Amino acid sequence: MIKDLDKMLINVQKPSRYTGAELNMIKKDTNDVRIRFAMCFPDVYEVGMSHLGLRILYHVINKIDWAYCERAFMPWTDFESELIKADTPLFALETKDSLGCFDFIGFTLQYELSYTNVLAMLTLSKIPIKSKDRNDEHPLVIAGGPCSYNPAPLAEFVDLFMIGEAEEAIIEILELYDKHKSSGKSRRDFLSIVKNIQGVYVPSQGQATVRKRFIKDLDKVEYPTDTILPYTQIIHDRAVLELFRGCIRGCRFCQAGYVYRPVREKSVDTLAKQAEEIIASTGYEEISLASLSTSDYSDLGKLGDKLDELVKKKRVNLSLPSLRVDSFSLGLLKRTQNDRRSGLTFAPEAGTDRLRTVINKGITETDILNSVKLAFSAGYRTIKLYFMLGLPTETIDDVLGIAALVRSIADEYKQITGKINGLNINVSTAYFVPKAFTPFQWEQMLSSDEYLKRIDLLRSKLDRRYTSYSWHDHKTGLLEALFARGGQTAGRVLLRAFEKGCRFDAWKETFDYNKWLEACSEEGVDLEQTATGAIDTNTPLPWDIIDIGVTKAFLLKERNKAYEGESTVNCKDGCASCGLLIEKTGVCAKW
Amino acid sequence: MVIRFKYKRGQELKYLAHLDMMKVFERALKRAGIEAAYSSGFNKRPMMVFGLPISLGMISNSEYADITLIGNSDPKEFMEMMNNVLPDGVVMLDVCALKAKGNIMSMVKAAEYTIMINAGNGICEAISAFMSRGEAVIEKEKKGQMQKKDIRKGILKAEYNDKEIKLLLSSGQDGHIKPEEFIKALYIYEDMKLDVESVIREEMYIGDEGGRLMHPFEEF
Repeated sequence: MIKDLDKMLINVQKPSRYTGAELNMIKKDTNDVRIRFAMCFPDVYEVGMSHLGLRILYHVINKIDWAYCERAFMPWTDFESELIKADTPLFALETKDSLGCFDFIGFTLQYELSYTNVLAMLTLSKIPIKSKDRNDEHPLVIAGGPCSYNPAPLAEFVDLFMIGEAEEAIIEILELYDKHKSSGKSRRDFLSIVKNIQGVYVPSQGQATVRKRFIKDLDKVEYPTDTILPYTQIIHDRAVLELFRGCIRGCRFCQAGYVYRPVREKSVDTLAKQAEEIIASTGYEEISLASLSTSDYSDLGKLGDKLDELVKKKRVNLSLPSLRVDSFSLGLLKRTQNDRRSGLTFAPEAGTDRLRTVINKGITETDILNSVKLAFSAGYRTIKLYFMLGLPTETIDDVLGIAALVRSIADEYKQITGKINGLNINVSTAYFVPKAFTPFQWEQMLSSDEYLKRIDLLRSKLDRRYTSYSWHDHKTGLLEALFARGGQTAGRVLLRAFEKGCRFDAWKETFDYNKWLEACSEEGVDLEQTATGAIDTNTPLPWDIIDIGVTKAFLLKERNKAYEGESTVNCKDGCASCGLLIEKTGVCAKW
Repeated sequence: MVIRFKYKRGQELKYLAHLDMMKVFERALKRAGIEAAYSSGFNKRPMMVFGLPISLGMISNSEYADITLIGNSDPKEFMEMMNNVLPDGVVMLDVCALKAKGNIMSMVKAAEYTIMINAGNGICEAISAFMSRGEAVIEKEKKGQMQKKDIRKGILKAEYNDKEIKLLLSSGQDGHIKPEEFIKALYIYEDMKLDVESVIREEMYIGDEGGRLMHPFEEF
């Protein structure tokens, strides 16, 4: 327990971030368990509790009666100061015990700009941040999540990485640790044997290659239907039903589309059962049908029928994340009762059919216009459109193409409603960052000067009567790129930036670019050049040690096809031979 | 039908804001399978009214709310079903069916508080002196402007006994005094800085036409 927690909390914003005791929180007597695991999300509570992976692993670990998984989040700057002032180490929400007394500290790495918070959470817990400085008295630091597919920048700080889906491997790791702990051996001994579990990467152990883990049958794996119900509003404050993992599309910029292969769906029956259970245990008024591309689920119609009763009797709303414009249908939309005011979200990603083929998005302007026509006819007035700037081969024509597409959408609106009043098109552009394990992993990134010029150009071409335009910051884009493809040098920059006080770099109010530039210059790193430079395809990559099952040869082939303007078949219509066919799992089983 | 219920807001939930508390009940209703009437319009909410707003960090032994349900149900059964699904830190203590429509928010006239004090001398004397004043004006910020507010007449009772101050404060829509304002005024007027351990809301009262204070369940 924490002394004077109330006195600290009265001085901070949103104190319920730190109090725990929510509905469905797991309570265990710490005397009855042998292993204690702290699941950490390096951002604030509202962000971390919105993350499904954290909820899944919390549930999976707590199913084991001899282990107890608790949660910790990065305290906002005000509470961080309070903790430091009171010399109180960071604690887990369940027992309020400090993280230093746990066996494992587990981080989920969802975005690069949360890395300084990882170091901050270790420091606040009084745990040495470098792996080599920790001894048998300290917890083992384990990390997983999408960013760990390029583990190099964090290799000095993390004892072991879990590459891939962790539901099964985490149990194997804990079982091994349990045996190990009772035999009284050192952490070094443990690290030397845990590397033999598939998916585990121990940077200090010089492994040759690490093959990712994935769950073969999603109908048989644990899913957290009795999940924690936060008291305070979180970012995604709704029940989440995960329809499938992976994505059939293979968009060439998208890391998730490659690392989560093969595509594996849950059955309609499993989903209907889980939906019912999750509403019964939480009382949520909304359930989100989540996946990388929900309209690609094979049995969406049947699933909709099955969920109808829940929707009608329990007044539960269905919601969908962003839609693919090609398979968008009005029927699906009517079922979801999506809020018309918040509008519909589409992600064309690029402004012209040519560039959309280059990135293998596989949708045309005609698809987009047909979809918005349907939406306008159904009474929608607000459309959100997501694009990227700086995609490989992008020219000024592609940038102007975004503005032209927006005009065509407005024309459709005029045709249907006879006016322009009431139309809202929210255009958002992200700065394209090449990611590991994509066909674009070797690409040059657009310089930040040119990125800003293209933003200005696009802005000048958009009609302000019905368009609002927002764009991603170029500074955070460069940092994201530094870590997405960086090696250990990026890790040294990270350490320096952290020591200078960088925290919450994804938050505008706390992001301090000058500190990052200082950190880069002290490490002799030219941020712009390092972040944006092209990589020769023969150069070894920092993430070569990881094997996601998709071959490098396939990624290279896809890269060449991009340059030639050739598209690749989606996984349901044919097999493009990415390398995972041998697993004969999920959608691959039919080929 | 409309049900008035009394509930306890414990340690676990004391940092919840008003809207979050509303959600706690809304989701508990869904778990219990009880159908509440919902407001119409864009932002559908269960038809539920709370007696008084409560400060962040304050616990309460007696909060009240009125909720409209679809169809009729036995109030005691409603309470039992809700208590089976409510989270730690909120417990329904009492319940009754309202004959008239009622709206607890517009009816509350006073609230009773306990201020727990860590230590201090002369508190008794300071309170007596304060209560014998004709007025006690404090400054209060409202919409970015400082306003003067006489809180003396709104302090209906203040008694000190064994590290506890019992307060009865005028509350609700016709004049609302917060315990913090009493604490502030005592410092301004009697130079008595209280070392406050915690403040607990103990009870709420509604008023009849003659201004007599009554228990919120009394007329029903």
